[in-house]
Formats: sequence, structure tokens, C-alpha cells
Amino acid sequence: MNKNRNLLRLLAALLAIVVIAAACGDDSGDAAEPAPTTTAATATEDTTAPAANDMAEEAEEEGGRLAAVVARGELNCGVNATLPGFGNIDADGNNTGFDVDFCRVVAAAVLGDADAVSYTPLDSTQRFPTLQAGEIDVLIRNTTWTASRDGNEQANFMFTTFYDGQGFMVHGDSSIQSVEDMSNASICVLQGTTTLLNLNAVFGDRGIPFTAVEFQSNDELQPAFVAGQCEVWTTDSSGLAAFSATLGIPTRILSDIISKEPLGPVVADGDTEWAQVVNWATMATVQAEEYGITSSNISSFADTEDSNIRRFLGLEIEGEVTEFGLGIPDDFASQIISQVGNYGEIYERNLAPLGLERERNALWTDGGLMYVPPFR
Amino acid sequence: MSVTNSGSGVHDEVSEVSELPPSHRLSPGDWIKQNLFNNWYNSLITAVFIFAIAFALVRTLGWLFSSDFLIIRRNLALFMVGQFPRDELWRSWVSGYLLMGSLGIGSGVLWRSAQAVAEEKGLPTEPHSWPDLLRRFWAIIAVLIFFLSFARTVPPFVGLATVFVAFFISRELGRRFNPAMRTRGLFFAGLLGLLSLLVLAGTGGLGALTVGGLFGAWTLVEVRRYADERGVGAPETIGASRRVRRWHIPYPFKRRVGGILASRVAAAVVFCGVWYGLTSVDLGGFGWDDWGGLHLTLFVTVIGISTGLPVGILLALGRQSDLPVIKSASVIFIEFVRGVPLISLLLFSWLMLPLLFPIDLDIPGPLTRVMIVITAFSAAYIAEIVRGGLQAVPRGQVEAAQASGMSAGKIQRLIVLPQALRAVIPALVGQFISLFKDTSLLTIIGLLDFLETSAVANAQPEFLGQGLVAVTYPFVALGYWAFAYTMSKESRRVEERLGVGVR
Repeated sequence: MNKNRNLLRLLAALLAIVVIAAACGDDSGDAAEPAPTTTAATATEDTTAPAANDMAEEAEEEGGRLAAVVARGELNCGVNATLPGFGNIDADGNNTGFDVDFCRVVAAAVLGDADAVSYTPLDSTQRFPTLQAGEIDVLIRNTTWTASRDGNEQANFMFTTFYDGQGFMVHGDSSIQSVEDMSNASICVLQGTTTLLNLNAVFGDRGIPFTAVEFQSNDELQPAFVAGQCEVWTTDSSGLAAFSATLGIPTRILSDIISKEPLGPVVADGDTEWAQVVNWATMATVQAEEYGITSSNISSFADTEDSNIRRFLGLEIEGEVTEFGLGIPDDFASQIISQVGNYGEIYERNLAPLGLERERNALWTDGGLMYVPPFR
Repeated sequence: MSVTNSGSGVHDEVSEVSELPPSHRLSPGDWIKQNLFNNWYNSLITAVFIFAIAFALVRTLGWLFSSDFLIIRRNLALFMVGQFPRDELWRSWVSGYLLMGSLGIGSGVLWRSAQAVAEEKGLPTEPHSWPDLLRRFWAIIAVLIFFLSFARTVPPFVGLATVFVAFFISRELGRRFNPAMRTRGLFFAGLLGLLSLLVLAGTGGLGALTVGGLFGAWTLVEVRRYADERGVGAPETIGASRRVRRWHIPYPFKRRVGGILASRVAAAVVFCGVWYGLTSVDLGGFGWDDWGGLHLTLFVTVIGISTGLPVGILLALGRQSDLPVIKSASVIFIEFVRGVPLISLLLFSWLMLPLLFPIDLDIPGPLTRVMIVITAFSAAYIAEIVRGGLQAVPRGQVEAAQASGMSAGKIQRLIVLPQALRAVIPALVGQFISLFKDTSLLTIIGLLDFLETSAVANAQPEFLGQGLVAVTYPFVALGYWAFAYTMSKESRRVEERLGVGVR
């Protein structure tokens, strides 16, 4: 008797909870049900078979990442939180930097709102697993494009936004002028980095003896260099520029560059539609600079006669807007420029303060490497 | 005092008659001579230690006064709340007031009812004093005030002062509750706590938590009231209440259950109404995926403890169960979770879980998954600690309870668990403290916790590469220490009150 009643009371309570769950769950149920489970899986597998790519792309049209991002209303972007100039967090809690601005570029293109970004700070070991897991839509974290990453990490590298390279910094009064002068020099370098591998490879090939002074982090390396424990400091030249400003001693950055480090956005393999969106959004900034369109003067282009610019900005040509068929609004370039700015503006805002010259990253018209396919 | 006086009076009298042992009170100089410099090697050790301590002290003071704390002054908000939007900081403060109100009322009510119980049983009652409260929480208060000393603007001062005022006022309020209204007082405290979440997080996923929490709390209150009505819970009435219940049910059994069912369904409808009401009004707010800093660290710890403990107790009981399914499920869960590092569980929830779902399915955010992992992890450890306590309860206790006709559930609830948990308080608190420090692992899955904030601040262009980790890490360590120390201090207090190791 007693036991039965307890049981019934329990059942009553459970039933009530179920009723709540059912009634309250109504709104979320719709989103959960029709999930096409196979889409992502098939797409990933099919990338090795070129013939199947089109079909995978067809499937992606409906339930791909682009649709997911639009439905979510927010772009998940993997960034660096500890590299000034490229990605860090300021005292007010805002993510800022060159890479962060390209997250904003993609968000402006896809969602029409550069602020609709959710940033995930990542370190260099988590970045690819996180991308593969789909936890982030795009990885923009000073990531070097290499063949093995493209192949083994299932990463899909987009337009290179910054051409970096491994450089050298010496004390201002040093006699070292180039790599050839570094015979028997002590060189400060971080442990376990490609920087160290490059150093060993290049100096080994050229037969230059040297002493590598290895450190765990820049916080330890920096005072050692200032104290003169090593004559040379090597890392990416953008990093050297960032550090040289804060050291408080005269330094000189050599013109020798011993590696190629093209950095740019990365997406996961297997979603061509999304890759194209990210790629063209990124390239629009360079095209805008080439046309001389900036965030401040874009309104003056509203009645330009130049048909290329009209097409680029999504303005009507003879009553018709050119459709690129990328799956994002036709005025995506306008959104990018007015909300974030063109490539030159992004560079000036984030990297010029570190003392980084445009050099290789100038427009092709200025002798640099920034060259994008036409928007037509 | 009077006792001491009369004692010394007796002493004086006696000393005239018999010879007392010589007084051991030494002058400071003699004490030092006898204890620190009584032979050559003790003198050497003393000298070395004095030198070492003086060196450390001088260096520490030197660091304290020579360091530039600008990095902390600039980033104070980042350390406290991470990337929480700065123009919405009022939410944090209001939520803080409500939370402190909740804690105040809760502790006040509990104190009052504990007093009532003690009076009833003729035990010594604990005097209520504010200085005592300050002594108990001096570490947290001191560290918070130290943190505040870096603030550049007025609002943080006003905010923190108001937080304390909210606590003291509501504790005073809670103390005035009638002890019989304990449950209602606690329910009210819980309500305030959930309200504080709602202010902070608006209608996000926490809305559901609020409604669910309210429903759960309300059900608990109902069950409690139901039990109180029948005098269940007081061991001496158990044998009797069974008889009483059998013959004194005022209306038929079926109607009773029907009534409960109806009231639950009605409640469900009401709560769904509340839920729709809440979700249709946009309250703004920021879900916990936007939280960070010390706030996030503390929140994850509180959630880990408050959900891990009940689950852990259930697992411990399950492991002792005679039912093979429950027993093996508990054993497998505990042994699996305990056998895997927390990092790998976190990485699993972070990187592998999304792979198991289609990309357009909205699975819970990263922090929600982390909470689940941390709950599971702490539950597994707590289960083993509690199991140790369960085994320490003599079998005779269970047999005596069985002999007096208690049901299995009541034996656990009233006889076994109180003794078992009392015995393992030190180990439990050790687990809580270690969980608190384990939350720094959130860094590896891209969350900006209290520790990671230090790295982020050091990477800002104006502070980059200046070795300022020597400033930020001690600052962060101090924060961790204050809370961990208070936890362990409180646990010793609870142990003393419950007479662990004495009875």
C-alpha cells in the first residue's frame, strides 16, 4: 500500500516534468528534428574524389556552413588572443588586430553586421582540431599555409592576407649585417617552433656554426636578449617588429628573410561554398584598396560611372545588379568596406603602429604581392 | 573571567603551603637563547633562516613597491569579468546584489534555525556577531578590497560597498525569519539567486535554468511540507507515523494521488506560461559563453560543487546498491571518469562532441558542455570520497534502524548519510578546492578564465614583453588563495561545530 503510493507520487512528479519538457520544448524541437545527418560526413569523404565534388557541393547548398552561419546569425571565428597587431584582447575586453578585422570582414559579408562575431581564442596546438570539429567556422590566427597542413590537417587555406617571413633582430651597435656575419653567434629562439627548424636547416645548409639559446616563452627570451645573453633574436619579422618597439634599447632588424610564411584565413575541407564566401570576402578588401574605395569615401561612389566599381559594390548597371552567385548578398563588398574598411585601412590600423612596412604586402600595382582576381 | 579570578585566588593560597614547580615563564631574551641559540648548530640554522626570511621579505616588499601595477589597473575589469560587454556591466552589479541578498537571507535563515534547534536541545548557542563574520571571511574581503584599490573610477567602489551592504541587510532580514519558516526562507533565497542569474543572462539558456530551478525548488518545498505535516523525518515518530498514516488519511487514497497529479500539471502549465512570458520579452543579457575572468572561474566552481555533490552521493549509494544494474552502472561511470584525465574529458566535449552531430544542429555551447564534464568529473571523485564515509558507518547503525522499522530510503537519509558525510568533510573540501583550481584548465578550450586573463593582459601592445607576468601572476595567485583559504577555513569551522574527531 504505502510503497505503491510512493511510486504513484513519483510517477505523478515525473509525468509533470515530462509535460513541462514537452510543452516548453516545442520551439526548440523544430530546429532539432530535420537535421540531415549525412551532409557533413559525405562532404568530407568526397573531397578525395574530384568527380563527386559537384554532388557534394549540391548537398552543401542546403545545409552547409553558410546556411548554418546565417541561421545562427553569428560567425564563430578562431583567433589569437596573445599576438599584438594580429589578435589580442584590449583592456575593455574587445578582440582587436589584423586577423580579428578579417573575422569582421567575413561577418560583414555574410551577415551584413561586422559585429556579429563570436571569437574563440586558440593556441597553436588547438587551432586545427577545433576547426575540424566545426567548433569555429573560420580560423584566422596567423596560420602559415603549408602543403602538409593543407593535406594532413584537412585545412583549406584561403587568400593570403599577410606575407610574413622569419627574420633577425640584433642590438643597435652590433656588427652583424646579414646571416653570413652570424658565424659562432648566439641566437635566441623559442623551443619547439618551426622557427628553430628553419634556423637549423638554413644555417646547416650554408655551413654557418651558431649557438641556439632556447626559451620556453617570449617573456623569458625578451629580458635575455636585452641583457645581451644572445646577439641575435629570430622569429617572424612581424613579431620582431612588435617586440622591438617595447624593448627600450636600440635594435636593428636585418633585411634577410629565411622562410616564407604566408598567413591567411583557413576553413575546414569539404565545404566549397563556404570556402568561396570566405575567400571572396577577404579578397574584396584588396580590390577595394585597388579601386581607392575606403570606409570614409565609399558614399561618394554611389553614383560612379565606372562599371567595374558599380559591379563590385553591388550597384545597378542598366537597372540590374550583377549576381556573383556566391550565396551572399550582392552588396557584400559595400558592407565590408563601410563597416571594416579596405585592406590598406586594416593594415594601417593594426600593423603600421608596430612599425611594419607594407613591402611584400603592398598592392601588385605598387610592386607588392597583393593581387586578386577580378570581381565580375 | 570570574572563574579565572577565583582560580588565581586558590593558587595564591596553595603556594604558601606547598612548593609549586618553578614558573616556566621566560623573558624574551632567555626564550630566544634557550630555543634558537642553545647550541652551535641551532644557532647556525637560526641565522640561516633569519637571513632567508629577511631576504624574502625585502625582495617581496621591493617587488611590491617597485613594480608598476598599471597593467592591473588598466585590466581590472578584464580580470574580474573577462570580455563581458563594458556598457552592460550594471548587469553584473545588480546580479551581484541579488546574489549577495540571496546568500545573506540563506545564511541568516540557516543561522536562525540552527539556533532554534540548539536551544531546543539545550546545546550551547552560537552568539551572532558581525566581527565574527568578518573574521571568517577576512581573506576574501581583504583581497577584494586589494583588487578594488586598482580601480580608477568611482562605480566599482560604490558597487562593492553595495554588495556588502546587500549581504548584511539581507542577513539581518533572514535572521528575523521565524525558524518555522526555514524552508520558505531558503526558497526565497534560491529565488533571489536565480533572479540574479536572470538579470545577468537574460532570456538565454539560463532562462530555462531559472524556470527549472524554480520548479525544482518548489517541488522540494512541497515534498518537505508534505513530510513535515506527517511528522516524517523525526526518527522517534517513524514507527508511529506509519500507523497514524494508515488510519488517518482524511480522504481516499486515489483522490490524494489525483490531487498531486493535478497540482503538478497545473504547476507545469503555470511554469510554461512563465517560460513563454520570459522568452517573449527580450531581457537582453549575456549567457555564460560571454562570461570570463574571476566571475567565470567562481561560477564554474560553484556549479561543479553544487551539482557534483548530489550526483556524487547518488553514485556512492548506487555503488553500494544490491541491484546489479544500478551497481554496475555506477561502478562503470565512476571508474571510467576517474581513470581519464580531466583535460581529455574537456577536449572530448570541446572537439569530439560536435563531430557527432550535424553542423546545423544547435548543440549546447562550449561552456555548457564544460559544466557537464566538470559535474561528471567532480561527481565521480566525490562518489568515492562519500563511499569511504559510508563504509565508516558501523553496520549496527543500519541494523538498529531496520529493527525500528525504518524504510531503506529513510535509513540512508536520516541515519547513514549524516554520519558518513560528517566523517568525510575534510576530503570533500579538499576535492572542492582542487576543483576550484582545476577550472584553470578552461584555458585550453578557449575560455578566458581568471588565470588566462593574465596571459592576455601581458600580450597587449603596451605591456608586451616587459616581464609583467611577475606582476599579474602573483595578483591572480592571491585571488585563488583567498577563496581556497576561505573554503578550507569554513570547512574546519563546520567540522568543529559537528564535532568531527571528538564524538
